[in-house]
Amino acid sequence: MNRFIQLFFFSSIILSTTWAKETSKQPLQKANATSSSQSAVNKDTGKEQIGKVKATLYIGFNGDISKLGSKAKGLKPPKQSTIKLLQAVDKLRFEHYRNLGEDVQSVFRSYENWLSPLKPSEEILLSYDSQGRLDNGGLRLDLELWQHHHKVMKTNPVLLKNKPLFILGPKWRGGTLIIAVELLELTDKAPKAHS
Amino acid sequence: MNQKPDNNTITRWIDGELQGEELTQVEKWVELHPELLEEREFAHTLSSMLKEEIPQSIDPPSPDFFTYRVMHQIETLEEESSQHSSRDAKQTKSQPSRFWQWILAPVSLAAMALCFYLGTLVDAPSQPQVASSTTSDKKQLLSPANTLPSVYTPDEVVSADIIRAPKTGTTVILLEGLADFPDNMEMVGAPIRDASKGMMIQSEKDTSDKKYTY
Repeated sequence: MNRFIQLFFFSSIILSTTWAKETSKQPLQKANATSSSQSAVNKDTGKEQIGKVKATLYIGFNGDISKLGSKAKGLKPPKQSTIKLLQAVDKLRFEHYRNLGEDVQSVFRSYENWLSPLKPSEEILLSYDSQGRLDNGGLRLDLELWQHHHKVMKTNPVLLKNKPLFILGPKWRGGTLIIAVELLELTDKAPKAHS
Repeated sequence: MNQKPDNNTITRWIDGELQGEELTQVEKWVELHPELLEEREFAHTLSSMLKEEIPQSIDPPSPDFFTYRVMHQIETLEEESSQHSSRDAKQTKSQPSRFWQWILAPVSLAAMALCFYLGTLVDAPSQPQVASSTTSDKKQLLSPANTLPSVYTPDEVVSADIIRAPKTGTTVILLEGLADFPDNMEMVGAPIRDASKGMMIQSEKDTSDKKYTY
């Protein structure tokens, strides 16, 4: 009797473990089969727009603006709110700021996109793709900075509205280039990020 | 009888145990020896005196029967004692086994249910990550929203530092070692681009149509 009970216990352990493994695999297999079949029939949802981002190229400098060139006089300064954010960081604190260029592009569900704030120049480029939406309304990106067709940096920031990401870039004519990347909008269609 | 009878015969005559011819012969001898009569008379007187003083003893039962009864009693006692001990042993054995039999069934059921539950916890799969169709060199650098992002610089000359402004909460990436843009490069006013040769600029100081390529 005792041996029978022991045998029953061991067999129940093995059966339950096997059953747990099988049941855990089935939903994932079904989901994959379903998603692959659906994508084959329907359009590519990866190109669906889930938000918009903006890249702005600023130059911060001290002293006279004339050293930036004659055309620099037509450059507009950034908004006061942006200046306030820049002044809050020691390395970004300058006497003057000017906007050299900006670019707004869509964020796709699963496709990469590019920002070129010095359009049509490709000296400064940013490539990005979405890594999902967070509960706090932020958007996680895989972001890459390209200078002169070379990748110089790769990061994974979380962008929030009205809270741009600043990148202190190279120097030019005594001033320092500052790249600001900010989230303009984020739709509910954005998939949720998994941590 | 002319010969003297032996002492045993005489003793038997004194005790009155002789009979028949043997008694006749002894009496003929005794007539010739009257001292024997006196001896017999003395023995009878002594015997009667002893009987008066000492009560008659009761003959014990047969020794064989006594031994048989004692042995039988011993055997009986031994059997009874062995029966008692075996009965006690049986009772002590049966009590715990009955108890465990009652307990075993519900314990078995509970243990089986526990084994099934533990089996469901084994090798629980991790949640699938969000799919991405981008290049293979990308990594899933998933960090919580409130922590600083990670930065990677392929060029060893370039270093990166990440800070967060305490007052505003903005994230700043400080890159050092980047190649500066040349001063004669014009960044203002939409510089002309040649896709085949990269970017072309016109220096404001140079009045000729000289073009620079990078």
